[in-house]
Amino acid sequence: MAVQEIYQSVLAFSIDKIVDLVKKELKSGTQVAAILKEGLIAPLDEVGRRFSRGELFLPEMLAAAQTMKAGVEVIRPLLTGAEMKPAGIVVIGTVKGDLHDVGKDLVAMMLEGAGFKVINLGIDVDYDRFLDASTANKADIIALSALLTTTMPAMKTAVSKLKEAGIVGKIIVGGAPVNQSFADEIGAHGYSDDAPGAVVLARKLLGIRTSL
Amino acid sequence: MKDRVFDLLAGYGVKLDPHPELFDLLAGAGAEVDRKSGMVRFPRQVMKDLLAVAPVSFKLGARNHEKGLTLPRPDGTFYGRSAGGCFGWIEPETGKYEKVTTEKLAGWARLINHMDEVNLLSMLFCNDAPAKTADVYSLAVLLKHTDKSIWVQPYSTGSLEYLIALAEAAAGGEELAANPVVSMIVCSLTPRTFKTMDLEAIIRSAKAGIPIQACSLPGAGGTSPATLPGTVLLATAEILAMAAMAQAVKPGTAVVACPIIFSTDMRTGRSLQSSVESMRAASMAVQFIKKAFDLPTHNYGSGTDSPIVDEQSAAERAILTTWMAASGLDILGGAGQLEVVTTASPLQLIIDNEVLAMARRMITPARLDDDQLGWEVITGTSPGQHFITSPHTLMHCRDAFMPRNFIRLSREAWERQGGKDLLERTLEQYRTIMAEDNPFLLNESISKELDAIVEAADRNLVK
Repeated sequence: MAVQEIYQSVLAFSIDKIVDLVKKELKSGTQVAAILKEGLIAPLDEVGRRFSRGELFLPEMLAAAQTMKAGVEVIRPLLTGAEMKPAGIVVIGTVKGDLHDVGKDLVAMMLEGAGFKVINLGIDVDYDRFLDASTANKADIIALSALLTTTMPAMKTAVSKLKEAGIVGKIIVGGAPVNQSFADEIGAHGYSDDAPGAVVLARKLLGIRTSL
Repeated sequence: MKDRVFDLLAGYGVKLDPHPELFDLLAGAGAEVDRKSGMVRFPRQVMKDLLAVAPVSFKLGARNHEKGLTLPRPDGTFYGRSAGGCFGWIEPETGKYEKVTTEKLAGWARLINHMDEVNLLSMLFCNDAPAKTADVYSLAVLLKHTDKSIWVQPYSTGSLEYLIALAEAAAGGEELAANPVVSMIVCSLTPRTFKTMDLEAIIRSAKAGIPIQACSLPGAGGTSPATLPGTVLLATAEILAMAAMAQAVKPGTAVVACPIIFSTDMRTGRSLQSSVESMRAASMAVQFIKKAFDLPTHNYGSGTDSPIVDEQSAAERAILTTWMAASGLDILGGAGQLEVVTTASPLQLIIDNEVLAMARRMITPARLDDDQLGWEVITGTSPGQHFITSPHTLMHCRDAFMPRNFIRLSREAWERQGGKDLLERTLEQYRTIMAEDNPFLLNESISKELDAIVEAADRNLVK
């Protein structure tokens, strides 16, 4: 029942309550795994669904993600190896020449909220940095962002160089001027037009069942 | 708000990428420069002194001198500018979505040569050009195919010298300071950040005598406050910072203030140019900057968030054009623009040309002399008579704006003429224009100079 309260707190963005609720729940003996999956990750999936239906707005989705993160911090020291295992490893960045990070950070936050380990390379990232980071971290997903029409060619270059280098991970792309046909044209493995969609896409590409 | 703008620039400042030359110039002008962090603060009096030397009136040149733009427009109205930055294209003959190419851009310029209300051209993104020199290709195409004024968007620091070289060559040996055939877009990276490319663009343009179009492009709720006055405040501060930098480089450098404000669709994160909020903030910024700082302004005055030429496009751009024209905006940009700023439509451009003409008529100041009041004709016409045969009516019967493609026919008359809708009528005009030779082509020898500059850019920038 109290796990449900945690769930509801994430949905209500009650960041001021979440820490106490999680601590209380731990004290009552509830399994850490249950708190994590049912109390913290599940509501973020629901947040994604509501956002996709247009019921929640971006700042509200972010507030929910931050609330969830605050709850996870409480249980982090108690997580076992299996529970700590991320859903996947994502290397994310804005491509060379592009200095915009709002959308990319949003995707990073939603992926983290969904249990992925995210290595955020920031902005103006050349393909070799994507390559180095994805190799070093054995990335499952490499996520490229571009806001400008003028930097879309850099996205194309990055995708082609990464594939040439034989990276194992799947490449996904997004950003204001990017669309599915551009993603197909440059040979990306996937495209999403919003942050929750990126989570769904990442899960799909990694064969993770999703309720979204 | 004016106080807050000064307070923001003096107390909190802006952050510049490392640039020793500009740091020296700004420090010399009295700005507080922290070279380590890149933070630059402008004490109030320093900012006022720098702004005081920015001209309130100047000319954007053109290859054809007669097509230069005196700002503010002497008749109290505005100039129009075509869509810019688009990579998508709606092909007039098929209505299909395609990508902009250098050939399409050349056609676009030919078309704009015939659009009386579109006085300034923007670059479109040529998908068939090498990515690293796409800006150089785009400017070269425009300079070759139009003699109107062009505003230039550099895509990289490396291409700046080639863009300026193209402008110098097209000016045909004339100093750019005397006839700046292009103006240069410089941008902040909101909030309060300036990158090397834009700092270099300010320095090189000011030195070359090229007017600067100082653009702040905040996204309300994303890169600027969600509240519109806050976004206007931030955009203004960034524009003033760029204006001040230009004056520090070369006092008297012409600066156009471009508070190009987007709202953020909180449901999706998309930037919007024709939402009520972005239009409202843009008009607020224009009125504020003109009144408080007396700089000419440039913003969207056409365009839509719709991806197609449809009823939404018609409604949004009609509101936007009327609203921004009434706000006192000096250059209304975005003619022919769809899907925020990503797609160009030649047919929409032709329609916008007429809408801009209507808006210009709308805001033309009225005279209230006896001729306009019709005093003699009113008093000389007996009650119950009419005015249609009076000399006064004859003298003014051609005053009204006569649209080319907007019709005022009865249904039967319209059907007799083929029952064509606005887009079909516009397509006919498009075909007529495109069937003609382009009399505004750059002469062959200068065109070859431009080709050589593009080749040099390719050699040095494309690897």
